Amino acid sequence: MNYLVKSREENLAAPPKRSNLIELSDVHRVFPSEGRIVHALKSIDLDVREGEFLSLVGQSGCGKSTLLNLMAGLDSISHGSICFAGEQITKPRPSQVGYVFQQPVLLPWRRIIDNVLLPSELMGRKTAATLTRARDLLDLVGLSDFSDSYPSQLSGGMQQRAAIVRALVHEPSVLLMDEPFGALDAITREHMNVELIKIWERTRITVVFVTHDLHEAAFLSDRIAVMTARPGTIREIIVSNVPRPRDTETAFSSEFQDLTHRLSKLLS
Amino acid sequence: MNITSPISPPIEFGVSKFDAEEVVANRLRELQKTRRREVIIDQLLRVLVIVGFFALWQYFAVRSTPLLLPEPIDVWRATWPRRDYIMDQAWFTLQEAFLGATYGGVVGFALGVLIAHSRRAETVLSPFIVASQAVPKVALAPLFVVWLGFGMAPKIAIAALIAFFPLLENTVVGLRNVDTTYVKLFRASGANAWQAFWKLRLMSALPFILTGARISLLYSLLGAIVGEFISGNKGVGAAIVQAQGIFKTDLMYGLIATLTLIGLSFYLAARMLERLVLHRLHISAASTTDLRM
Repeated sequence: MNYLVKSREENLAAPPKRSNLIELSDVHRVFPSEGRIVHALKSIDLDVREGEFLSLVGQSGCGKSTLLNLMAGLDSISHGSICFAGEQITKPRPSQVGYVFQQPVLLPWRRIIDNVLLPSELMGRKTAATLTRARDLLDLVGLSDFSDSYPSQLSGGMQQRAAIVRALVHEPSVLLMDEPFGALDAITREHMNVELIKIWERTRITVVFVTHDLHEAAFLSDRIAVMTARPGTIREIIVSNVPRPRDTETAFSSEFQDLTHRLSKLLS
Repeated sequence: MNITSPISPPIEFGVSKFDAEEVVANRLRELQKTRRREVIIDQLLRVLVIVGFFALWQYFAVRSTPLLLPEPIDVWRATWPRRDYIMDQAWFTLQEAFLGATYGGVVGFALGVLIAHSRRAETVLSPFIVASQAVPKVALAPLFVVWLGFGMAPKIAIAALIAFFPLLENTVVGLRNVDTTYVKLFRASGANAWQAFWKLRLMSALPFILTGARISLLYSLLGAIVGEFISGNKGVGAAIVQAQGIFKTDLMYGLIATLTLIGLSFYLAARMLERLVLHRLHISAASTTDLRM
């Protein structure tokens, strides 16, 4: 799979694949906390479809990050089944998963280019092709001039863009994003959303995006899973009919406004 | 046509009298001037304190006997002609301290790595490690002489015993202090324990480890001197004991000053190296508690 061969228009014109990449059925996650049992997730049924942008929305503490960790294989389920391309997830699947955290978590002693190549390096797959792709992706997010800079020389938004590139370099099948713009200021955040949608519409990589910002979810997603807290359950999955390609004008469309209205009703 | 009200003065539009570059340059010049003045005052005060120290010394020395407190000039006269002898002793002590710090440091670092990675190693080893620090290490010095003879070896051993702990402690703290999100990144990227150690843990523990190494180096000097007090006839510590034996108090002061200079150069060299390494690696230092010098 080579992400960047097709243009945005070609990508959007292509019919969506509808096979499931990640399948969760009756997933529970409980853990002990201060002598009590916390039901972090309760009977979650959810399919992540190949090539879709899926958001998990809910208040903090509703278990959306736990759900993401389960998909990454960083945490294990207490009950039920969770499959990745038909196979049970029991451990991290680094080559198939790209993970973006709330913080950029760039290593301060590495140049940006060496930071974005880190996962490939750790998997022993650092090749000339990876390097080329890293450069292409840095170019796509407007960081090509900074590939030899150190993280401390970049702004928060630029660092987070580098973190997204890092998650994409090894060509995973899914990008898991845990409130990736939560630590940025509102203006940078909006800018990053536009950047992300541009990247996504070019790559059409499967994305699972965790956020508590419903506008962000509405702007980015194909489908939005609204979660409730304690125990964490999925209340409703909403399919977006906000047209693509999306840009700064999207927020003024009636579809977008209907969607956010519906979401805020569900979350209140 | 020029309309000007008789009351308000004419206003010029579009002509800015504001030159940003000049304003900034002026401000910068002012700041530099203040800074220079500050530095001069700092240094003057520093000299004043030193002069005051010697004045007080002189004041008490003339009211005392040379056996208790010789005058500064007597200390100089007793020390300077013996500079070759003192340099020999200092070189000997320096080697003992440095070797002790190296051996102790290597052991301390290795144990620190082991303890940081294994809860079991910590549980099993910590009683011994704590005991090795709880016992006044000076009390072990005579035993080391019995074991290792009168040469350099017992002094190196005492220096190593004292030096290993700060590095061990800082290594453990540093390796445990790794940000959990980074650990998660490495886990999600399929890193094995070896990769996580070399590419993440060790690097982020480096500021702590280097601080520990600096303290170890300074402590090793203490170990070497204690060893020399107890046995042998070489080194600054032994020279102090010998000077005491022949009632040459003025020389004792000179030797103590020599030791202070060695310790100071250890400290400054270690700190310079520490800063250089961290700067080159773009890592910020572990603490800002060091004294400015």
